[in-house]
Amino acid sequence: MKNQSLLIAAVTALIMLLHTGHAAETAEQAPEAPAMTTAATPTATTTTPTPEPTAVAEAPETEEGGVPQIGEMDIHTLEGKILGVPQGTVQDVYIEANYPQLDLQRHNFEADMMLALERGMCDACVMDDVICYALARKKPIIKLYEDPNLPINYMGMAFTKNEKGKELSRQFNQFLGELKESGELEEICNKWIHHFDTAEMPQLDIPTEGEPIVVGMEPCTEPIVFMRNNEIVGLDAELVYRFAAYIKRPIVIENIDYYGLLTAVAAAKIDIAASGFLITPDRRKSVIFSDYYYESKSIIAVRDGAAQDPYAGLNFFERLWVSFERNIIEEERYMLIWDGLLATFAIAICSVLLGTLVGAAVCYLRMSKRKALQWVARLYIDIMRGMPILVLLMLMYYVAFAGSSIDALYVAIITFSLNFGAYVSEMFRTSISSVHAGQSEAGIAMGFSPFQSFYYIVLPQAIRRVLPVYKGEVISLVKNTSVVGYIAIEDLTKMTDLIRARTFEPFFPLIMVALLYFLIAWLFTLALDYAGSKINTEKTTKR
Amino acid sequence: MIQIQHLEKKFGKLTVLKDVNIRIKRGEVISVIGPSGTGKSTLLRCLNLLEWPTSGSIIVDGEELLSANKVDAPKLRRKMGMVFQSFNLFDHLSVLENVCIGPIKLLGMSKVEATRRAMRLLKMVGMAEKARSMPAELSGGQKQRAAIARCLSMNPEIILFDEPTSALDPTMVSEVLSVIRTLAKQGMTMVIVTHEMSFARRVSTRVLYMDQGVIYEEGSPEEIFDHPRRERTRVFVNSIRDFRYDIHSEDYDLYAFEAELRNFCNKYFLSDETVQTAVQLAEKLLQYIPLSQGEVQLVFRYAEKTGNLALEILMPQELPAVVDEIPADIKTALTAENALHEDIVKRNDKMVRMVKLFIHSEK
Repeated sequence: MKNQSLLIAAVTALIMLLHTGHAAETAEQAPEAPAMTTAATPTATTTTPTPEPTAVAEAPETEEGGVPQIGEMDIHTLEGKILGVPQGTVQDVYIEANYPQLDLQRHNFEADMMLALERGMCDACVMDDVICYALARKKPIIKLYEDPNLPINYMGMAFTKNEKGKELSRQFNQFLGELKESGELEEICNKWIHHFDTAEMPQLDIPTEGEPIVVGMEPCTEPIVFMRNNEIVGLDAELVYRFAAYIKRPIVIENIDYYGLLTAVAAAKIDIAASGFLITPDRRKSVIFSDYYYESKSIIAVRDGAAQDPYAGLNFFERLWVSFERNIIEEERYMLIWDGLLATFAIAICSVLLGTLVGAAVCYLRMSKRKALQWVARLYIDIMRGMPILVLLMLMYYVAFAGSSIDALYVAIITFSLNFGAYVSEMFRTSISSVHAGQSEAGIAMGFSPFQSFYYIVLPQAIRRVLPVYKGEVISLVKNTSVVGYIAIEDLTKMTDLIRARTFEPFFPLIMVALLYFLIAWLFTLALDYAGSKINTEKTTKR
Repeated sequence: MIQIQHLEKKFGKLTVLKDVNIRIKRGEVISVIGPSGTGKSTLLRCLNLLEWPTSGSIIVDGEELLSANKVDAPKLRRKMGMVFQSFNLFDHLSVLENVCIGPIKLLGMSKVEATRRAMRLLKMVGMAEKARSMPAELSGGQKQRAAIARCLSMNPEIILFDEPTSALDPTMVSEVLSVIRTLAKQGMTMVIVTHEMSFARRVSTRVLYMDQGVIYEEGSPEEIFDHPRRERTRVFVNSIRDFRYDIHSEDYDLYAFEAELRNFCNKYFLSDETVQTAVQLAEKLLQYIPLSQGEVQLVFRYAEKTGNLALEILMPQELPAVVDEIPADIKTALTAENALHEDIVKRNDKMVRMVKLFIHSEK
């Protein structure tokens, strides 16, 4: 996971470089520090929710809207302990720079970080206060502290750095200004942050006709944006829906991985990236940020007591059942799994079919008598095989198809087909050349044309030889599709992430997804075995 | 039927065929003999256009193949069957399917009809019993007979045999040759590239001796084998191949010797039995020769024309005569045909004593 994120970061940086070249001057004019520009407005201070003083009075046990108690602590006291941080966030960068003596453990995913804390893989973790209330409510063994030395962050929405994005961000700021003015923003923030499990999305009048605003979100973070009853809800979700109603345009939500979101908005794949982004000078270099809508403190979450297993006392089957109920049945989450399964299956089967055709074509070029064509094929094969599939996927989505409105599903199918084609073309080639030249010659000498000779004589033998390795490649393709979540496809893995983000449980969703991948791979194996036996019985079992 | 004029074939700078002229009449059985690498196989492959000749002309039934660009090679090849040295049965198909695929896919025959014909052909080559077998389950001779049946399934007007027995174990050569002989009796037109001199002699109506890319001499089998007019033909048909093995000490490597001898015999299609006899004889004789006193050379000579294999043992003059010492039971243990005699010849100004044994006649 960690390697993947590093990779993504590298690709993102590359893509941002490509895209920010022309926007360099506008970047210069943009204000440097977000806090200064927005904090100056008089409404700014009133909009931030103030949890601390009033919160202490309320008991943490209160079911509805309980605001957990927040103590104070000096982060230095954590020296020698393992401190979890969300990878690449402001906290990560800040702590790394200012507290080099702390032992950091970076996580991609707040839910995973909480889990690590709960299970004792780390001793404390740092996150935004906006998230921590939700977490603390779900995990009573976690206590929250704040360190006044840690930075305060400002959350904003990100827009593409072009004329369209500038105009949209201006409209958004105007909309936000009005919300702040009327005090509605504070209400909305309070509603989601302290009552995230009961808060309802407002009834809005959003037009269905016209050019939609495309908003990218990763619904994996309570209460900012998350899945409830298979719908995207949360603070950011409400804000963008309200914005759509405000400017009277339809809205389309793309589910994109958090680490791909800013890349996507920088590459103009989406109009707005909204998943609780903190405004930083670095990010400002590649996107336009709106004014902030929430001011978030950094909170330190510490496990109170020994590491705990939430299923302690239950036997294996009880555990399984409770976990199953919580992860699959509740809120009809099986529908998410089903949709993810369909997406994964669709990508896999289309890529296998299309990729086989690509492979055949490349193999044809590779075996051509013309040197130039051979070289083209070799170059293609080397490049495709030498590139991690995830990088290829990102390049296809953010560079090759940048600005085109092609569905990400098609991009994934094209990418996997290209990759699969490169691998299988070499398998095809070796199996075809392993068929003795005399076979085809005998056919030609009998009066078959070269093509007929290939089709009737060489091909059946080559297929029989290639099938075992081909099967392996198909299975590996099925498993590789698990990275498509990075480009806004809700596949099986992504759906599991969404569920885990709500339930904070790794066990059932992961076991389930592993079984489902196994099942898909197994189905493919069965299908290929059947095809293989078809070829073989036709030819051999007449004995 | 087929007329070949001034045919030339070059592979890059290498000229394999130069100025080949042949007329093939219907019903003829033509054997092509000659040393390795003189273009015999290339000639066959040019004939059915598996190789495109560099220049010259091939006229089949009055139709010039090489000048017309629009020659229908597949159609030509249906009339002109080919049997390969390495059989080239289609490995993924059973024997029956091998024989059926051509008629079904190319002649548009129904499956039932093709199967009926195929079974008849397989019966003719003695392979009806193996119709359901896969090629991998067959012996070399069976494969070649199936390949001949496959070739016949296309109703060819002429069959080209490209060294049909060269890849076969010596014990299987005759079953294939019998099938070819049967075809000859039925009046099939055939061109056979072969190393089997005695077979060529018996089966063919005409023999072409090819050497260095040309038809060096042609004539009836008697003319070529018994009264060759030209020098190189004479050398070839009378040629004696020899295999020499030096023994330097008592501790010579018997197995290496045996392996080399076997290779030599296989090259000329001598049977395993002959190899066995030759090895045993040599081994026994060597027991009576004092190997520690000097170098001894074993020379096996094989005459292709007569099929005789002889063993000579060359040793220094000073070594005592050994023939007398060889026990009688070993002498009689040799096959009745074996003769044993002793000679003294002068070679390289050095007197050597030579024991000469006649081992076996293949034919």
